[in-house]
Amino acid sequence: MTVARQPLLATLRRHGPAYLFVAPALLVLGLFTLAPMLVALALSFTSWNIVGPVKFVGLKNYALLLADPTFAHGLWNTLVYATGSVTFGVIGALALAIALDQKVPGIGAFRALLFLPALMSEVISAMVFQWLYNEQYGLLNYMLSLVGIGAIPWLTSTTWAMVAVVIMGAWVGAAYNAPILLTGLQSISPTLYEAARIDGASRWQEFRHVTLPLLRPFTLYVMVMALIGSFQVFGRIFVLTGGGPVDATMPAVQYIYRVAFTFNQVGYASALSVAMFLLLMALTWIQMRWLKEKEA
Amino acid sequence: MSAPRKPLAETLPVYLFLGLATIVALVPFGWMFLTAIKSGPEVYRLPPVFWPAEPTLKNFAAAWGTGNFPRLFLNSAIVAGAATLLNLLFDSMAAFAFARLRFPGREALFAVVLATMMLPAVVTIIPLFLIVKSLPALGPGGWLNTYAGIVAPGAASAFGIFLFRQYFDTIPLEIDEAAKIDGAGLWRIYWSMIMPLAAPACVTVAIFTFVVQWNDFLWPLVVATDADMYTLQVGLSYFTTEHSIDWPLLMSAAVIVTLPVLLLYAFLQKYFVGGLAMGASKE
Repeated sequence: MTVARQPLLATLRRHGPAYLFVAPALLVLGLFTLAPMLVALALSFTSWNIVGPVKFVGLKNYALLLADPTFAHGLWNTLVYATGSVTFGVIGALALAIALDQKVPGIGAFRALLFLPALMSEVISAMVFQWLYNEQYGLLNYMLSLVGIGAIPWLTSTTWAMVAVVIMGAWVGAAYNAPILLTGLQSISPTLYEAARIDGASRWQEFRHVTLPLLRPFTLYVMVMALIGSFQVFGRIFVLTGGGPVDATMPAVQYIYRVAFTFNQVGYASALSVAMFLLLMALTWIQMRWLKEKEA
Repeated sequence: MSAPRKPLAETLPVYLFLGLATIVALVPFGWMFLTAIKSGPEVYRLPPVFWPAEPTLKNFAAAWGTGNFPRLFLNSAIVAGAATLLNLLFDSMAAFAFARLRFPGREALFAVVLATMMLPAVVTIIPLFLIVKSLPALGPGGWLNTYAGIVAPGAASAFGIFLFRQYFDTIPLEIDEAAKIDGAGLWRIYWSMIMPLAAPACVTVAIFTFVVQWNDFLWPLVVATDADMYTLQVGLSYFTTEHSIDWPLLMSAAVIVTLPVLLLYAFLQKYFVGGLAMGASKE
């Protein structure tokens, strides 16, 4: 590049307008996304409680968090939620996408209606589910009683509360991801299916050897994004269970929120969030490796 | 549709599955609406009453009159509206430069933009709070409890820039060149030539930004501590932590809060799905 060797001033004069066009967006993203990332990293090496001086403590916060049982518990809850909601959400989305790919009359209406759960806000859906899950008067337990299943303590039992939270997560995830997978299915050329049929492939063989491999970029995208999203789960659970009963559904983010904004331990909370970020990166990497390997 | 008629044995299982899935997807919506139009005692009857004996709209009026609901509605509208306008302007400007201008560092800066999409909010929320708190001029708490503070972090987005860039790439460069020969400046080209051609991209970015901002919870919860600055989502979240919940009232509030999004979707449905697929097609 010859441009790079020009003096800075000449570059700016020549390309100034272009930089002015990108400046507002880059300022917003830099100041409110990139800078906070660096600040979080810096603060994670300090003990700072909002008031008082910022004291450098080296890796002490990281040593503390490794032995913090509440953080470990929050991470475990997050992992359980992520595994459950991503698995059922993506399988559900795949089933929906395949059904929505059928050329039958009225399919447009189904496509429109089945996306609706993705539009309900975290807070509202959690409120509505809280009502559906109501042990005594909830619709869900009534439906179950019709098939002879006794009242389930959805939100008051430590075991069932997690099931309740995962069901809600999968309900949203399936609806949100189905159109993305549907786009993937529609990008597969029909001639490939014809070729498979001529070769005498069964429906299952078609699905296994044509659909799944060609859909892989889309499933990979959906699974990675779903994992990142589910790791940050906060609002849904905060409103549905408050993280309870007795922290049984408290995700790691809620613990970080508590440490930062209730206990005011900003330094430690920053270390917790950096640790979570690293864990998420590692998991995403493993997930991508695993899905790529299955391809080979 | 002119698809060839399929045998019933093939279509029936598809309809059965889709019918069942639609019920599962819509039960929460249906129950929300039905609870909203019931009178108080009716929701505590067993077996549950599905259609109320006397459907009523009084719960909606009551919800609207609870606390400072109208103020929160206004807050949400201002926040989501302002974020939408700012994204339309900032994202399209940046995308215009990335797609149609050549300047040193273009690809590097675009990579930085995309990287911000990968950073989870969980890492940035605490420092974001500190940064917004220390921004000058709007009061002792910086930009805390201000519209500017709620809106600013979402005023531009990698998603919007990416979507606009994809769209701008499909518009022939000859348009810019012809305009340049006629003596038009870059702003004229961007504003009067390119943007009018990018209306579909504008609609997609606008509805996505609006819905995301209207539904956002964590950031408004953190940045707005003054009850007059809550958004609807934050205000409602405090309802459910109360001891005895008035379900018809709460579900009426939920309907009011969900309605704007549902209306947008009813009229602009195709843009939602188009925008969603954009994310995956960049792979």
